Amino acid sequence: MKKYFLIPALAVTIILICLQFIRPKVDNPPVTGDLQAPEQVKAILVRACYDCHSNQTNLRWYDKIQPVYWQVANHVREGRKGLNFSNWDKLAPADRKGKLWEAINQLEEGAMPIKSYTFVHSNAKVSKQDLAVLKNYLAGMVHDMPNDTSKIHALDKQLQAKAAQERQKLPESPNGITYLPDYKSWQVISTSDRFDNETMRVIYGNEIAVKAVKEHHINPWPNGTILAKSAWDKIEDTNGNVTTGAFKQVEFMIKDNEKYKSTKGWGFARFKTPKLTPYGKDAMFTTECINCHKPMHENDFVFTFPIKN
Amino acid sequence: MKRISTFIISAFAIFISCKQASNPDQLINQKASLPDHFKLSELHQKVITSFISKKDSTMSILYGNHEAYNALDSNVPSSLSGVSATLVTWRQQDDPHWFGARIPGDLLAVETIKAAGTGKNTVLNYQRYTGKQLVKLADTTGRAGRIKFIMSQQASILP
Repeated sequence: MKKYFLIPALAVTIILICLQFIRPKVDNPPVTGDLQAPEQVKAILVRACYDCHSNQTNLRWYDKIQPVYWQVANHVREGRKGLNFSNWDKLAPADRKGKLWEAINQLEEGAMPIKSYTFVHSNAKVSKQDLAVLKNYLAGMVHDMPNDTSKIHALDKQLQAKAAQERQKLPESPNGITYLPDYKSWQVISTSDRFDNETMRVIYGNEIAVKAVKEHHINPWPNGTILAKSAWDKIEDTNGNVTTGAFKQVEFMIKDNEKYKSTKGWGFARFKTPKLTPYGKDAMFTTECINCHKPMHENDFVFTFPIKN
Repeated sequence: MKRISTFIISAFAIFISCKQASNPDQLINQKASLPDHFKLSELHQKVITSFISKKDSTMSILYGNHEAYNALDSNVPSSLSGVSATLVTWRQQDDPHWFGARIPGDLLAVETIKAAGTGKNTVLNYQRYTGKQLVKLADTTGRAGRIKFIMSQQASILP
């Protein structure tokens, strides 16, 4: 009886030993410009994020055991691609801010750090107090700017250009999604006041989406659902009245389980400025979309908290 | 070593299996939703603009028919005949899904404007409904001011 177990166990052990010699490469490229933040904030980010989101990866001996090492190497590679605090200088100031808000939201939703990582590296866990420190830091970056002349100017420019606009062909996103002009007459399912990036948004749903909200069938949303989200600058007067400024973009999420299988059943597209310039260099831009939506995996990857009307 | 990796893999599997999809009923923003009797979606009005009052912590969406849209779109000469508009106002709440955003919370009021008559004889009728159940308000104080406020909004740029 013992023999039956001995042979497979021996085989597995040999395979595991052999695997140790096949090693992925995890190097630390130079730090071109590290994130600058108050000491307390930085310490939390370094502890919780830097192993995968910087060029200062600090692997422990147990990270380097195969087959775990493959996964670790993959996490570092993918992590750096999505967010790298060591190349902070390569990002425009607005993008740095955007990345930080996104990162803190990922932490708050518990999507980051990855559970399997904190299971082994328990010191990387982000406590409620840590999160409060990070949120305070970000909240401190929000400043009111009444009568912002640059924003007013941007709106005026768009208003003047409006009459001259004539569109022959509908723009197409790199993943093949064509701009859907009809969303403007769809019903609204929510609106959002984004103080993190000084925009305000209206979220529209097509008929299938609105019906799904009415019937509470939104987890998952039915195939054929389309959500559209348009965003504008916020223009604030001295009395705290905020109105829509220049048009920033419109984003679509189209539900089709088969067609968009690789991005969790959702087709993503974004068209920027009144010119409706498609976002993304190539079809791979959707990785960025789904990564940001990942914390919402329990809500079918949708952030919007819809209103019935 | 094998035990460590088996342990890690099984622990990871447990973490994944613990995740459950949220209840769809909890995913609807109930307190911001309109009561069933107020059939806003059946009016088929489109969004003209949206605005926020930081002082009152409220956010609003102004809907309207084609005539209302034209009247509030700066590039089109305005006429009031046929105008029908609906302004919905909510108290703001923090977005439970995104730190950095505020979304509609309690439904506060719906105000409607409807034109009666044609040409120079056009008058705008105003009605206000308040509270979660949108109770029709008989009080007409301040209506001229509200009509003026609503009709002074500028349509958002939507290419």
